[in-house]
Amino acid sequence: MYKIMLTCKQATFLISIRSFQRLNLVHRIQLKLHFMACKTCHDFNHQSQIIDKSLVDLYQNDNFQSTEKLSKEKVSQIKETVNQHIK
Amino acid sequence: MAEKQKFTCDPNVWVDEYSDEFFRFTMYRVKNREVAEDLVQETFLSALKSIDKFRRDCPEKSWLYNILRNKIIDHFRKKANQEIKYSSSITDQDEDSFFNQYFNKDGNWAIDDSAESWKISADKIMERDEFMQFLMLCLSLLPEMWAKVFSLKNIDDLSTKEICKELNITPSNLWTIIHRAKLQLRGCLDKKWRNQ
Repeated sequence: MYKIMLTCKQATFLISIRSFQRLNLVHRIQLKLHFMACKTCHDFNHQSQIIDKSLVDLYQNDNFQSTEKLSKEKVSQIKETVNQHIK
Repeated sequence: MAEKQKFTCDPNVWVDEYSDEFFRFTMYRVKNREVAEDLVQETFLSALKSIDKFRRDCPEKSWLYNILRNKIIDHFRKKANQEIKYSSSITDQDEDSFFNQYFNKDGNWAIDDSAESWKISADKIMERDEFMQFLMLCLSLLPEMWAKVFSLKNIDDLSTKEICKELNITPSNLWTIIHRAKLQLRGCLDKKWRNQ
């Protein structure tokens, strides 16, 4: 028989793994009920979503508005260093 | 990033084609011109050394990006070593003592530390440069294998089954790693975020 009320440790476990795997219906209901009773886990869930979104941004976002460039001197210097390593 | 696959294997072409873009990518994360320049240069040198290992079934640019990302993480890891030493103590801890930091015997929070400062929306938080800086720093404080789980998921887009195979761990190990990593990341970010 399922114990319907989760502990905070169990709730944070489900919150953590949900970005890797979809939770089943029972777990989703258990989490919802837990959030009604526990503000800290409710906040943890919010923070966990921020972290997940930021990780996606960190690993995948290659589009920046910045137009900063390396100086021509630096580019030549890098080429020179790279070429020294080829030889 | 739907991009035509290009294999030049010519380091001089890499420098011409990618150095400005890599520099902006790095600057966004490290906020230091000199460090960013060095990391871009080191990326090309590392790529040169490991060119034999380059799998031609993936685009050259993505391969170079992965090297650069690892360089940036290493940079933060070195920086982190000069700061608080979380990671070494936590890697060696057994499961119980790790969770005892956060939860009491009944499995509920040992301390109620819900953070008011996180109350703004995800988009607003992510717009703040400091947050991404803290994230990089906190990520670098995780044991290497834990951080690897996130990069396999987000960069390589592997399924959980594939991640387990790649790291040679069971699904249950993987869930524990994700749980511990998330608790530690959140704790570290919270601390940084409050003290900024």
